[in-house]
Amino acid sequence: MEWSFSEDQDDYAEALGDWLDDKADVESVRSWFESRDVGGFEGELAEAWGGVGISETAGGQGGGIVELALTAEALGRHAAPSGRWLATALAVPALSGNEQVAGEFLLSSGLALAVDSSHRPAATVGAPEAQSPSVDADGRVTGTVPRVLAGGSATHLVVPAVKDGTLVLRLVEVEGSAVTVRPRKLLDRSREVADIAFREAPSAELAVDADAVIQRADELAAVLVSADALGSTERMLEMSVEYSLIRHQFGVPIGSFQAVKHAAASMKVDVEAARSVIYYAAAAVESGQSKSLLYSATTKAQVGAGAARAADSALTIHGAIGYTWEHDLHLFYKRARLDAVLLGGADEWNRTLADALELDG
Amino acid sequence: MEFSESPEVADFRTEVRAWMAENLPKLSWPEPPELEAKLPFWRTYQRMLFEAGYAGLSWSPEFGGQGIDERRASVFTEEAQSAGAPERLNTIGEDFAGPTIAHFGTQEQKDAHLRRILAGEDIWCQLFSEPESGSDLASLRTKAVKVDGGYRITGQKIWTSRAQLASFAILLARTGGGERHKGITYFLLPMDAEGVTVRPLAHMLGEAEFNEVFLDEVFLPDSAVVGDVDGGWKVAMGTLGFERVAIATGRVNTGQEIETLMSQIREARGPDSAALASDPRVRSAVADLYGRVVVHGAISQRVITGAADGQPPGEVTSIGKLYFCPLVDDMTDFALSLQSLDGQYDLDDEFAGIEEPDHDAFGGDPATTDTPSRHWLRLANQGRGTAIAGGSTFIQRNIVSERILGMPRK
Repeated sequence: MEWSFSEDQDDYAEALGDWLDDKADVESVRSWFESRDVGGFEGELAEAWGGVGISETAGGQGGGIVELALTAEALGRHAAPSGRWLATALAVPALSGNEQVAGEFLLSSGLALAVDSSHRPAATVGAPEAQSPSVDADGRVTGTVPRVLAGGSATHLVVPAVKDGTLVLRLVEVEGSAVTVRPRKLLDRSREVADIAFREAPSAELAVDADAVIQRADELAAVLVSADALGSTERMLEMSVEYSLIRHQFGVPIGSFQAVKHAAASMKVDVEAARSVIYYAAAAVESGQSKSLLYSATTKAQVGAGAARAADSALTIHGAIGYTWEHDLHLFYKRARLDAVLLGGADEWNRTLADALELDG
Repeated sequence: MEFSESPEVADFRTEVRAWMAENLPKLSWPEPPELEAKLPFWRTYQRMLFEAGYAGLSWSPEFGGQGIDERRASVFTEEAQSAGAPERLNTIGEDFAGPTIAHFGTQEQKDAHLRRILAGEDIWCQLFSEPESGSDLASLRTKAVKVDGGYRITGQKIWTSRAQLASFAILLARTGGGERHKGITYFLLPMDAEGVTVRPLAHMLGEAEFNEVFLDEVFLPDSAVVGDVDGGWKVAMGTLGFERVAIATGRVNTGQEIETLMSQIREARGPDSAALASDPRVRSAVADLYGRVVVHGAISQRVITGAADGQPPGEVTSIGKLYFCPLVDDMTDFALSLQSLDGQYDLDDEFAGIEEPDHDAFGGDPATTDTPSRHWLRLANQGRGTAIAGGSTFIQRNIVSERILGMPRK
């Protein structure tokens, strides 16, 4: 495999990075975090970059999963509000065959996949204990889905539902009393989730292979949330090194103490390991490798756990100042801690991996 | 990010695979387990490689190689490992001494040594570390005193793998024209020179792994110097640079080892005679180890792609080693934990892993030296050694933090 980025990909990452440095500088990010008002930025993000990573035939601007991962990484690096962007990326494959509508949603990021974001997408459908909504003969959806990513701002939901014992996907417009949205408040205020209840909500058929779309959502979720974690972890490493050079104690910069150096080195290993496997998995999913689920599951299990470790290491290096609301570290700390568990944590993804490895002889 | 191999690389892989399939059976298997007994077996294999043009693949054609890039070199290694090719006994010669001589040596040195390395006629060892100079190599004390026509070398080297097989060594000694690294000279030493004594050292499991080498007024002519007198440090750093892909990607084939572990687990029963694979702790541990193997593979692909694209060696070498060594430790320890007493049986215990009423995975014929149980124990031990060699864990973290992250040296 050739592990390298094309010139176009490097250019894209640079352009997006510059745009985010300008639009999502840390003061702005803090102000959105404190006011919980992220809608303006998310709208601008969708307008400017919404179609990147989605093929033109699917209504996007071109590119694939590597571009989506580069986007996620940059958003994580800035702790920029991005729940709507991610929710749309996971849901838009359900609009396959409908590229105009898909294109519109990409530029508005008003679409969300109605799955419980505390689990990997495929865990909430099909399994015996799953609580998938049901759809009746008139196409009305009834049921509840907790913790839907970007559920509080979605205008439309792609809802996995059971019809006559089969999994289908339905498109529900969020309006009227048939759909109740109860927003939750997360520590990481740059993303939001909402508990959604459907009471005979009208829905439209989505003529796609529901299982294939959910599997795709699984792999995308694993790679993109991991890429987000990579960005925020790398930012915390940069902050930690910078702090360690400036902060003096005992007459020297604290970065000269070997314990501090080793902690930073271990974070660096985690960052580069994460980068290596995220883009490896992205390439595998993009090219439809038979082992792409194994690589995606690996990515989410390994990167999530590494990011949580690194966040605590960064906090230790910063000492008391890093523990305050006033310092910026908690913005990235909370980002990484949520990424570790959003759309499935290490335990769940390792269970998926163990099943896929067919250890039962 | 391109998952598929380029047609040229894929063709090369096919060619190598076919060659291995056709030629490996010609060797007189099985490969002898003891090092000295391996020598004639390996020599035959090396000769076959040499005649087929596969020896020293990365070397410049000027010196008998094919000048292939790291991408195709890694493909060759993969195919050789998959085909069960013999252990390479002359990695020092082929991968370090040879390229060093090709890059820094005189024409006379190139003519004397390079072809013989490729043909398997000379095995090389590396005389760098000393009892008092390991992590701090620049403090080495072996002295090279100038005499008429050459030097008299006196000192002691340690951790020298394969010294008992080697006919030549790359040697660092102090000519003293400057302090520390400024007074070191790089020499080529015939191991049969008068005054050279080799004494074996055993590793923790009691098997001979490496050696001490005593040098007592050994004479070396001026023509044995590589590069400039007192300029040996630069040459030594060159040697270590040739090692970077190997250090970063690791010598253990973790992909193969995890497959072996999984197939053993598939056959095994747990304490209550249930399938071991139904134990959630086992499933979780295997998934995590498998995942780390995938990550290691991704890091390796990144290192190889970077090297093939001509990027300077750097970050990923130390990072690769820091990632890969704990993975080997954890994988081997987990495999051992599936046995009674966590597999802490001596190598000569006849029943280890074989008579395990609750864990019948680990079978094997106790008369062979490499039962599954002994395999994991040896690998566990080797892993600890590898983590120390070539820059220990703490040194690698110093390198990453100082040279990559820019944190202060002192």
